[in-house]
Amino acid sequence: MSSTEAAATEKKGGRGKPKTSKSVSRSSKAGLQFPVGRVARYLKAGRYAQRVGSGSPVYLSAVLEYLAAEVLELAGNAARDNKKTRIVPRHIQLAVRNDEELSKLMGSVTIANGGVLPNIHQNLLPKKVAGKGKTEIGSASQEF
Amino acid sequence: MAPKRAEKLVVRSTKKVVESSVLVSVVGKRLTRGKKDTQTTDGEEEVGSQEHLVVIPIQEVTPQAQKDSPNSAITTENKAEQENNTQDGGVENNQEEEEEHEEVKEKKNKAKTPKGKNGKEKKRGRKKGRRSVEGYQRYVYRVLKQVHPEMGISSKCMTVLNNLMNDMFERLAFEASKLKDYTGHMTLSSREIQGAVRLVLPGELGKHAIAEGVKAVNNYTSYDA
Repeated sequence: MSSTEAAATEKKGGRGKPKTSKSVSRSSKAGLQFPVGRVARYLKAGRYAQRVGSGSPVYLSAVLEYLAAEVLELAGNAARDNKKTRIVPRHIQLAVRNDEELSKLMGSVTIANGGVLPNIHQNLLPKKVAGKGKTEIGSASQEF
Repeated sequence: MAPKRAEKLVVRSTKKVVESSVLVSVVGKRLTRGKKDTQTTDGEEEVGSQEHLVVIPIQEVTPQAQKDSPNSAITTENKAEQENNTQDGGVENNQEEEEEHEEVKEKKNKAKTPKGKNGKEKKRGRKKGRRSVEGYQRYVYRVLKQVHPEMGISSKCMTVLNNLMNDMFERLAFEASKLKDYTGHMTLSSREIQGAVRLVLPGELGKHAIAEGVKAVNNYTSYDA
């Protein structure tokens, strides 16, 4: 009897999940940093639809994380070009406005303390000086 | 009949004035004299009952009440209680003594209560914690450390990025909601989100975002399968 009981207990040990199974977040299931559960709650609270699927907050969180990573990477590069180790709004402005697609995406967005791109129109620059440093008066007129 | 009605009207108005003046005078005397209230109130009520002496107590009593009131150190609550008591017909001396004992007890209790550094009374129970304001700050910071581990970020910059994330969320969710309405479905699925990403994000940015989203959904569905 003792041998059969031991065999039965060995069989039971492998069945099912342990009682104290640790909860795993949906962000870690999807391999994301952005919050899947919070995005799902926002989608439900915003009344965008009567029902929300299980894949939509995962997809949306991944897209938001990709956009954040894209902006942060370009802003970090801009900060490094300016020999700074801390990103400020000016670096975000430079990163966004120098990128064609991000500039199109954020065309109607104003970034606080961002400033503008350094740009001087060509017609506003001073004219080139001639050989001896004096502009010729006769060259301004046109001959037919 | 007309003159009789006029006389009645005059008598009623004088009675009202007498009653109000008696109330004011009682309050003034109580504030100054203390336990002799019962005698004075009885005397004044007798005077008020006589119709010929109506005008005299009003002129004599009201200035005293006005003079005495600024000197009194009793709170407005006590004044209200005293007025109510006088309307009922006076208060006995025992009740006044009990009120004095209660005031002394309250002072002792105040001395016993624990006080903080500023001398204010400590409130029992849980402290009110900070109201948690939800945002994407911690997640943006994690992504920053993945992309540029040595970089930092200012608080204004974090606010800009948080607002950017909220704006993009609203754009994508609103576009997905419109797509859901066009198709006649009731559920917001990942298919609608993908269509919204294609519409909102331009060019290569949209293609890379779709690739990231599909990869995340595949990881999520295949987890622990």
